Amino acid sequence: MIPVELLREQFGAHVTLREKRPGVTQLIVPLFHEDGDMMDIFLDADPGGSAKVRVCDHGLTRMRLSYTFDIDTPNKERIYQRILTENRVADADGELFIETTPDELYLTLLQFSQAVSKVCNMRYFRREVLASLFDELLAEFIESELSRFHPQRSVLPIADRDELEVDWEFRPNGVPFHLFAVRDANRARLATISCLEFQRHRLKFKSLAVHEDMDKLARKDRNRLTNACDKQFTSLKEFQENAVRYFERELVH
Amino acid sequence: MKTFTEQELTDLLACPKVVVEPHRRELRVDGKMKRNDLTLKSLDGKHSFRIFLRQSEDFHENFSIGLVYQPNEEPGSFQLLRCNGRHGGERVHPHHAVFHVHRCSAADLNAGYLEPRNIEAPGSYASFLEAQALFCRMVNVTNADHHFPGISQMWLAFSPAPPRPAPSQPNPTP
Repeated sequence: MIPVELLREQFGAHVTLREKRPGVTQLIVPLFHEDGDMMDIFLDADPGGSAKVRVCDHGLTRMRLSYTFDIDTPNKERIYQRILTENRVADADGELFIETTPDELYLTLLQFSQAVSKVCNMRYFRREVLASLFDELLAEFIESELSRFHPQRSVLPIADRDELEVDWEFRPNGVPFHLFAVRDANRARLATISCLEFQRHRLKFKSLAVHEDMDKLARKDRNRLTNACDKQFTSLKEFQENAVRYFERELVH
Repeated sequence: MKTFTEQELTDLLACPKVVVEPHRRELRVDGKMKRNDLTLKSLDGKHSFRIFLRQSEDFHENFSIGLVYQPNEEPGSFQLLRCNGRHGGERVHPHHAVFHVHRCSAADLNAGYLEPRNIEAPGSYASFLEAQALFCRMVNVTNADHHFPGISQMWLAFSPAPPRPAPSQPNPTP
C-alpha cells in the first residue's frame, strides 16, 4: 500500500463520533492537550435545519485555560482576540466556533484544533513565566550595552554576609554602584534590607533598583525601597532607555 | 531551580490545609462555565496553594477540581492534582469518557513538564459534588465543612454487611 493510502486509512481509523446531546456530536480524535486530555471538539447541527455545521468547543477551551490563566487585562484580551482573528475563529460568550459546510469539515477541524491549542498556550504568558525572563533580559542588556562600566554579577559587598547578595555591581567612577533586579515583593524587601545593612556598615556605595514593574509592588514595599535606595528605574524599558546616560553622568563625578 | 521528590509531592498533597481567603459560597457563572477559586495555606504556614473549581454550563458532567501549588521559586506554580469529570477521551482511555484524576509526578516536574500527565480512573466519584468531597479529603482541607456546607455528609460510609451464608448451609434455627 502506498504511503498516501496508508495515511488516509490511518486518519479515518482514528476518528469517531459520539452523541453528547441531541444535535450535539462530540468528535473523538487523537488530538491531546499536554496533560493527556483529548481536545473538546463538537459538531453542532444548525437548529434551522440547513446543512451548515458549527465546529465548536462549548466553552471548554476557556474553561481549561482558566485553571491557571485568566484573560483579565486589556493586553491579554488583545492577544486572545489576535489568536482568534488570525485563525478565523469566533467567540460567543466564551465558546470558540467556526461555521462551516460539510465539504469543508476536515479543513475546518484542523484549523479549529490549532486555534484551541494556541488559546490554551496563552498560559505561558503567566506572570511567573514572564518574570523569569526579566533577569535574562536585564543580563542581556547589561552585558551588551553597559560593559564599559565594568559590570560584575552576584557580588557580596560584605564578605561574610552571603544573604546580602547584589545582583550587579558597576564601577563607572571607582565607587561601586549596586544594582538590584526587583521583580517581586521578595526581591524588593531583600534589596531594602541589603541597602540598609550596607548603610549601617558605612560602606561607600550607591544603590539602584531596576523594577520589572514598579506598579505591581504593594505600596509599603515600594515606600520602603524608595526610602532605602538611591535611584530606581520603574521598568526594564526605562532602564534600557536611560541607563547609559545615567552612568555617563556618573563618570564625571 | 528547585527539584522535587515523589515523597515531597505526596507530603504537599497530604499536609493539612486551611482556606485563608474568603470566597464565594456558590460557583459563579463566567461565560459558558461556572467557577470558583480558593486560596489555601498549609497549617504550618510554609506552603501556599490554590484550589480551582470549574463546571461547564452546557455539560454538567464536564468539570474540573484542582489543587495548584504555589512555591516562591522556580519552577513556579503547578497542578498537583486534578479531579476531572467525564469530558471525553484521554490518553489512557481514548474511547470512553470516564471520571478520572490527573496527578503530576516528580520525574515530569524535574524534566520541565508542569502539566499533570499521569491519569488514573478513580472509580470513587460520579458527580461534581462527590468529586468535591473526595478532593477535599485527598488534599486534606481541614476547614472544608465551613466553606462547603454539607460536604462531610458525602463522606459517610455504610458499615459492611455481614457475609451471606453459603446456599448449601442450613438456615440457622431461630
